[in-house]
Amino acid sequence: MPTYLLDKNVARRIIQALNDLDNMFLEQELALKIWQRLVKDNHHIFITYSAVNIILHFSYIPAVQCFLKTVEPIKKGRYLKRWASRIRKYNFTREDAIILALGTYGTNARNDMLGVDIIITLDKPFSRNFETHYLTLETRLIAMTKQLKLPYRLATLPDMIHPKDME
Amino acid sequence: MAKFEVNGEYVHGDLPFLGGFTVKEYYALPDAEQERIWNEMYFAEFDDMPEVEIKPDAYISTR
Repeated sequence: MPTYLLDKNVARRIIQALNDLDNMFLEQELALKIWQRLVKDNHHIFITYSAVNIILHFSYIPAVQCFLKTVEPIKKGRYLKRWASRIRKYNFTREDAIILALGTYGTNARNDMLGVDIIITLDKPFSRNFETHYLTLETRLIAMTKQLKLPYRLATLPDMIHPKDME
Repeated sequence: MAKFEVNGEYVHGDLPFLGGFTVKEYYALPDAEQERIWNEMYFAEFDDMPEVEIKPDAYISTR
């Protein structure tokens, strides 16, 4: 079953949508639909620990409590910081590098998962930059991982998609 | 304390909320400003989190 990591903008749009279901605009609607679909299909959905802490402020909204029950915080696996600092060299912001590194070296509460399959983002500059540098990043990742022990040696880049691409 | 309605739910508008703003102040902010607050907070504790060892037989996606 594929695993998904929600970028910050996707998580924010979902919470905004849940906060005002009658007045959603396109990004909120797209983000909400994707979350509903992932939940319906029983996929594993991850967000950052900080996102959970932010979203807890909105937990007076019953739908937000439901949202929190469907997502899992993602943890930093070993080598994540090293990979994030390498990613930064390819014009990624600190935040984007963290998301991409979590997608590659993040893990779950049981430490039995390496990276996620798909990062969902609404951030077009981020996804464009990822696409532009994909092959270089892949080469850099292979160079970094080949000397590592298992499971780190098997790390691969996640896919990155816009909610619109999943409709 | 004044109550503030959000999507039919009542919360205290004067309660501290995100980014040093109260509930009422936060919802009055433009979207770009709310986004800035989220961006700041989204990774706030990231540097303090330790890296953990992942199990050798971990699930690895088939991408």
